[in-house]
Amino acid sequence: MGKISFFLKEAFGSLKRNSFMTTAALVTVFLSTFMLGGVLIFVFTTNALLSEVEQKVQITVFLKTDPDPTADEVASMQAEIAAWPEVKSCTYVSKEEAYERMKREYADSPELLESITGNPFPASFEIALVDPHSVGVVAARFEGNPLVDEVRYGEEVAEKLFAFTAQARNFMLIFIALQGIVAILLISNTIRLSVFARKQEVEIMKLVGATNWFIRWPFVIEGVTVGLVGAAVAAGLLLWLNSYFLGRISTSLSFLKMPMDAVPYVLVAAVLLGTGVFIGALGSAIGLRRFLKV
Amino acid sequence: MGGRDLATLRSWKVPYLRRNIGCVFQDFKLLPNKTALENVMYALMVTGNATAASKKRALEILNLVGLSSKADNYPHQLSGGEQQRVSIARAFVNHPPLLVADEPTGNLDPDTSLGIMQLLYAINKTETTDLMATHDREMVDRMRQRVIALDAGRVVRDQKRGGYGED
Repeated sequence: MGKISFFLKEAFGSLKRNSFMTTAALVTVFLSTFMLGGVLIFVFTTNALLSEVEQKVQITVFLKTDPDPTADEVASMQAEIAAWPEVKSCTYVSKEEAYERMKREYADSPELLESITGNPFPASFEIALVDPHSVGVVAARFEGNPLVDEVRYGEEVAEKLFAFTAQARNFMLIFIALQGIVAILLISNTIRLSVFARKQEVEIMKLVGATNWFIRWPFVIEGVTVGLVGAAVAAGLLLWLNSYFLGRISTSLSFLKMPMDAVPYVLVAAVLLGTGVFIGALGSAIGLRRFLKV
Repeated sequence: MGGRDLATLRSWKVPYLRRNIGCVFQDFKLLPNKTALENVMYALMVTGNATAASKKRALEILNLVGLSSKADNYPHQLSGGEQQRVSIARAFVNHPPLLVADEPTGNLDPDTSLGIMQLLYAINKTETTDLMATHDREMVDRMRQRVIALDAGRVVRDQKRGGYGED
């Protein structure tokens, strides 16, 4: 116990004494974890937006109109589709509903509606998928079905969209990795510098008979403190900025349905704090290594 | 050395060997950000002593070297002689069997040097072997202690109550 309080006193004493180096290290940790967190939040939000767009890919199965399928046939087919593991939901749209929808959508141009006689619209199933990428497989199952007239899911658009989202996700992973490396290098370098400034001190401690860990602990505590405080400020500011701007965007651009809960705040904060603490401690320990060989 | 073979000594054991040797240097090697008291205390804390016990012991030894009034001064507030006294206090506080002094008077004027030598002599009387390297002729002649003269790394003279160069 006595040792721990001694180490804590040593660590905070030298943080205070070397206030310039402490400030420099704090700012570096803050900036680099802020950038890393910004990238993380951007990636989570973009990823949620991409998923949102992907979810719009659905299959529409038009049923034959001549003759129209019986209610029994419709019911058993819906049950069969709904039982497939890839299918999230399967909605039956009857001829009448299709006609009503049409009327609603074109309420502004009654002359168009007047030109339609009777109800030419086919009944259909609208199928949403658990994983939008399985759209091709599911659509293929309707081939040769005697009740089905046509299956539509916008093959070309879907494939292009998926290619784009896959590429965007790869790009974002690279972005995160790069930003992570930048953060690690910057933080460990600054902390190494502050250790370097105290080379002489470390040498004397060794000559008096201190073990490596006796010297190391205060330095590690310093590194952890700087890492923790810098990252905490960055995380707090980021989360506030994020909720502030997301709120503004979703009120001014209401057509863009912003995924407000897309960012796992706790995870982002944990990643930032973890990065700060881990690199702070490691930077100190590694920076010291050279001077401990006395 | 102290019953240990230095050539095969593991590096992690070096600190424990160092605790059995008090070291005094020409340039004092005090921790600049610690007071005289804290400098002496550090040597005690290193060996696992509790804070309170270390403080008590450090104050005693500072009193012994005549610096109890300057315990809370930082090294840059002390004169060279005073700094060397702190450094000797630090070296001796753990009662090592051997005290090595590397030109302890090299940076000090003759009067101050004499005080330092008297201090080392007192420590010598407490069954601590003092090994001192120096080229301070006056000090050697005054002390009349065992003198081992080296020339180009070889022992050329080992005299029970010697002076400086008699050649």
